[in-house]
Amino acid sequence: MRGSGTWTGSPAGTAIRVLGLVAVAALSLSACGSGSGGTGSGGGDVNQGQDLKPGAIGALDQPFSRPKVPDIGEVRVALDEGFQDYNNNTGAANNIANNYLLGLVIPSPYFEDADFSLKIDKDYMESVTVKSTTPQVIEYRWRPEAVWSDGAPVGCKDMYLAYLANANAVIKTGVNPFDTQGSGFDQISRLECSPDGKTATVTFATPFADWRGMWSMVAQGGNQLLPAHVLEQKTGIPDITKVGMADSPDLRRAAAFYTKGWNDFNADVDLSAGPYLIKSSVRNQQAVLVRNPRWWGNPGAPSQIDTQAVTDSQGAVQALLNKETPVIGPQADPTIAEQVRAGGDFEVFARGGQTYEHLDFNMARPLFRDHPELRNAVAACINRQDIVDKLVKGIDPKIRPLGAFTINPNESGYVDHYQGIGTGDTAKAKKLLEDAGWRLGADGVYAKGGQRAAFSVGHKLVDRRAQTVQLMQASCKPAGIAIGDAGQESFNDQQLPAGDFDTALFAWVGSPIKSSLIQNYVSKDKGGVANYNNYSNPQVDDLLAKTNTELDYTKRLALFNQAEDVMAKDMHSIPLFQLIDFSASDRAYAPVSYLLPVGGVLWNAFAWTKQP
Amino acid sequence: MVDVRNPTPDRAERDAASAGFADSQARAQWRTVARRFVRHKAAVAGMVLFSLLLLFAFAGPLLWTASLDAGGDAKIAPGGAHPFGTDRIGRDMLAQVISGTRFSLQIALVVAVVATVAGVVLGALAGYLRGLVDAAISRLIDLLLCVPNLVITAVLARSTFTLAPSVQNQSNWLSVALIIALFTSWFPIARTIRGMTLSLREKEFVEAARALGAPTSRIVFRHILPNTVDVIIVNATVTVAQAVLLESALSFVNLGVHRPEASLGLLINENKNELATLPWLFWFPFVFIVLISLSVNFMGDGLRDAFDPRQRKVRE
Amino acid sequence: MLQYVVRRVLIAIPLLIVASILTFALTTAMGDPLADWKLLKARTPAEVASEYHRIGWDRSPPQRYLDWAGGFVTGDWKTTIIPGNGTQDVRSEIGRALGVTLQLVIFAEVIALLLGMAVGALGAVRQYSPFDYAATGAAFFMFSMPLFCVAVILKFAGIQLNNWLENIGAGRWIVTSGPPRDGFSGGLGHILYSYSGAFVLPVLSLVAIQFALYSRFQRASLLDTLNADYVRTARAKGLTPARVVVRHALRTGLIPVITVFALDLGLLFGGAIITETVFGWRGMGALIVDAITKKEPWMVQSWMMITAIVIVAFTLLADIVYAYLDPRIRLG
Repeated sequence: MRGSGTWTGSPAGTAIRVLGLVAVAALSLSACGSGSGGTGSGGGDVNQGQDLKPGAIGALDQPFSRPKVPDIGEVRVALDEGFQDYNNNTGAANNIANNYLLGLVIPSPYFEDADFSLKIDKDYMESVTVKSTTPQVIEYRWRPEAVWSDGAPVGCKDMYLAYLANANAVIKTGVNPFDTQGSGFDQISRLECSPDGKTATVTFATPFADWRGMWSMVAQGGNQLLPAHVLEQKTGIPDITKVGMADSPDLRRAAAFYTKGWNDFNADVDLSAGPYLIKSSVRNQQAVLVRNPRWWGNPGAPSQIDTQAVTDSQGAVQALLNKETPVIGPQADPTIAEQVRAGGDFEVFARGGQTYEHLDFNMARPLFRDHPELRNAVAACINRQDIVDKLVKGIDPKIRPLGAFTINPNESGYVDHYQGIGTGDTAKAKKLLEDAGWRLGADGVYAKGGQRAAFSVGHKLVDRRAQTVQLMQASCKPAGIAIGDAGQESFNDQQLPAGDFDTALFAWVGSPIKSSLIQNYVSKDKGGVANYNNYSNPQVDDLLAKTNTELDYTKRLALFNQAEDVMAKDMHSIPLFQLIDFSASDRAYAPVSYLLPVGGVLWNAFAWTKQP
Repeated sequence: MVDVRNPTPDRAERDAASAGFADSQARAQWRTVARRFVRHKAAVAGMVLFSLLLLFAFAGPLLWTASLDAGGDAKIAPGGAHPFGTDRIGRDMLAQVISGTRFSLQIALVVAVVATVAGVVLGALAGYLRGLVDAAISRLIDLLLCVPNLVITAVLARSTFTLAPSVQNQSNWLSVALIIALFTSWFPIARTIRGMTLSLREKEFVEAARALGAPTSRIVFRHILPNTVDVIIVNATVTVAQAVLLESALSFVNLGVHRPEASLGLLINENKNELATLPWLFWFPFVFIVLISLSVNFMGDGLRDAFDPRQRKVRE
Repeated sequence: MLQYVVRRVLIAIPLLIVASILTFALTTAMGDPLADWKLLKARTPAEVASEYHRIGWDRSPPQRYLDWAGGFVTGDWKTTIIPGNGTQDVRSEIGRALGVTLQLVIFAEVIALLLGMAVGALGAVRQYSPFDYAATGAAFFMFSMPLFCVAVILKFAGIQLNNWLENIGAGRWIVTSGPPRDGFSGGLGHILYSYSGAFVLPVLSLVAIQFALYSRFQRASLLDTLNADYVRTARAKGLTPARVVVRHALRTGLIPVITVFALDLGLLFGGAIITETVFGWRGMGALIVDAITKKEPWMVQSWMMITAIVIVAFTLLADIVYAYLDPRIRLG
């Protein structure tokens, strides 16, 4: 394990003991700072991430603060997509690329650290305290120094605006004028601001298990805090906290500014309350971050971060190899990774991330709906290890086939539910089919009752997916199962949401905010809007619904694992592998790594160091 | 305007006579052309090379029986059991290149035939009929020329009514070939033929045929087009080379053929980032695409010289 | 001459109008601009209707066409409209991109034209000499390579060259990721150094292809003229070969090359898609790829229209130059 590796966790190395959810998280500032600080020593891989011990269950609510680091001057960074809109909350604007920069700009009660755990950001918060669980009451106390870049305080008012935008009563009557989709807000019964505006007390009508994501960047869509005082100034509303949930002219005015006023980039209204502020932006091409003069915490290491959108991974790697751009965060494939590793002067970070590739059986098609033995036979004949070896290992040598959908192997609580599945076991596949009455036809393909064990795999035209299909074809052919390639450029936009496929090969983006995954797996009539393969099992519906209200984190993870178990038995979908979070940098820079959904390669830019 | 003063022989008789005369004359001309072509060393080399490539593509699978499927040993450098090496998922690269050459050639030949037929017919009609037909066809060409064809194809590919591949992506090479033929390759030929027809229609033998009341189609196909056959052949040859390259450009923007039908363009495109890592994956298909294009271009050059009576050495 | 120019311009106008209708049809065929937005999450009919109203899609296609055409001729080219794509002004965006691409294309064209004409002319004069064979071979070889391969290989070679330059202490000259963003600064020497470093690869890859074309055309057309009667007469009269070539043949031999130059512009704009993608330039090529991917209708429409206008204008210019150069063409 080269490199200091301190970016992985607290230098004190002492995990706070499991305190359960009711843990009072008001810990002292000095004890465990620097979640991502430390100095790297150059050369080679820093992919020890795969060895990372997931944050212990219940270890949430540890404190985090930005470390003290020396100035490293200006840094150029290549991103796979450029910055676009300051307000990333609206459905119209929402794009992960905005989060690359906004993580360094927007205040947020919780910070996602390298081990995917959520920590209380002590640069912003004095404390986040669970006052009561029945009813659920959370108290947020903002630090008095926390201000926006124009000097106005960060606090309860900004939280109220997000609450108003996500929970206003008009949503229930039809139109949401704010165009946001943050979850949990409609379960709030009361949000009270202290007279100094620095404390917010939130009371929930019904328990909401993912409350840590609320008002935090990590939960995305609707949760990003915005400078509410700017909205007040621009709309003439004297006090936004006095605007009620019911429809009113003020509400409409606020919504109009909320959806339009913070689009694109405009230095006058797009304020920062983070270590950096956006100095300039050419939409989706380049953006420049400089240190925020009003930042009260430890100043970030780079004096300026010059980001450029390089959509072509090969272009990004060549810019790195040619020493034009010292830090890159491209979409990786083995070719990309090998080039950087062979380059000599560069450091690679690669680790299985939140996004996972999987093969879905369309449960609305009789071939799969009525034949679990065929689903299991396919799951037996494909060779997941071989697919991982050939297509992913080149990026991250430590990656293994994936064993769950809702919890990733680098998170606490992960259990492999698919051991022994997808090992290229031809004999097992044949036996499964023959035991269920399938007979091998003259064409070398099994058939039963007029149906052949033949289907196609729909996917977007991506080289890796076409290769995955070819490897499946090759390993299932000897088992008498014929697989066709139905790759199309438009697959993810058209065929997939329409359910127009036999099987679908695509990826879902996971998150520490687990409630976002539920809509992928519950029945369509239970809110499964992204359940494209028409899977339906009341048991899973029930278990996943429970996870949304279970406030005990350990119990909640157990519920997820029970649901995973049922799904593994049903075999409606086969998890293949995690896509790899990848970044590469000139060896002088450390510790450069990659984390989603906030920041990407920039997630810990404030803590980078540079060797002379 | 045409005033044929001389008494004309019976039509059938005249046709037979002229046909016989034309036949022997044509045979002599073809012999001359063949002789000139054979003297053009580069052209002959091109023809031999192209024949070998055809053989490689269509007879190759009989001799080289390695499977196209994935699943063998991956990333093996060229040599021994895999003369062209294997790729990242264990496919034999020689088998890939053979099949890629076949798809590239199929596409190129279909494009050449379709574009030549469309270009010749439309060009001749425009040149012979003139007036409204000419205006319509010429403006259509102008229109298609004023937006880059790569963009037209890209927009079409984004449209809802694209020639969508069948569920299993079978025969999508044919739709790619048709797109290339219909949106790019036919109008250079049409323009040239139109120009030639415009001047040929004023020639005496055409006027004579017209005066005899021969139908338009007969005049065009029997009297005018045979005089443009040299241009047609040269153009068709060049079209083959262009189509191979265009198909690879379409692959670059993800609009070319899809797996399982891998053309050379797709192979190069899939492996364009391997130059620093597994270079043989890039170089073998690249060399073959260059060889196809090069051999055809040399053949075309030789044919042009052979057909052109003015071609003589300026300095002896 | 003036009359001829006026007449040609008048012919070009209806052509462009038809082109605008055709491109509008193509753009419309890309489909519903809100298709992706509607998939993001469930939305109420009122929301959807108001969004259609915002982007003007509650009007019929002919109305939208007239809207756009009216705006286009008066300088209002509309904005980007896809939700999440902001409201960028189409005209300023195309203007910026056109500037970037023209820099590249003009550089490449001038070099290719000069080089091609020189090599082609020399090849024609010395037909079947070793030089001619070498030039022909080189031209055919470049002709036969896919443009994106040329770009990819050049870029790879450029980085190797840089490594070598750095080893001998000369610094890294070649830039692979577009022009410097803050423009060029420093002393003249430094400006030249960084300017050439940024341009050399993309220009070279465009030159490689165009050069082959021009040299072949120049050679063929000069051979034609050299064989023409009036040139033979001049030679028979005892003029020196150099004089014959320069005074008599070259001028006429230029004509086809000029025509090809104009006709090629479309090819170059298409080629820019590949060059700009490989070398990370943000010009017309990158712009249209992005716009088509996002189905941004006004961007695609105005892009195609402005390209059509540029190409038609250059064709016109070529015709005029052609008429001017060729004494056999009478104007009127």
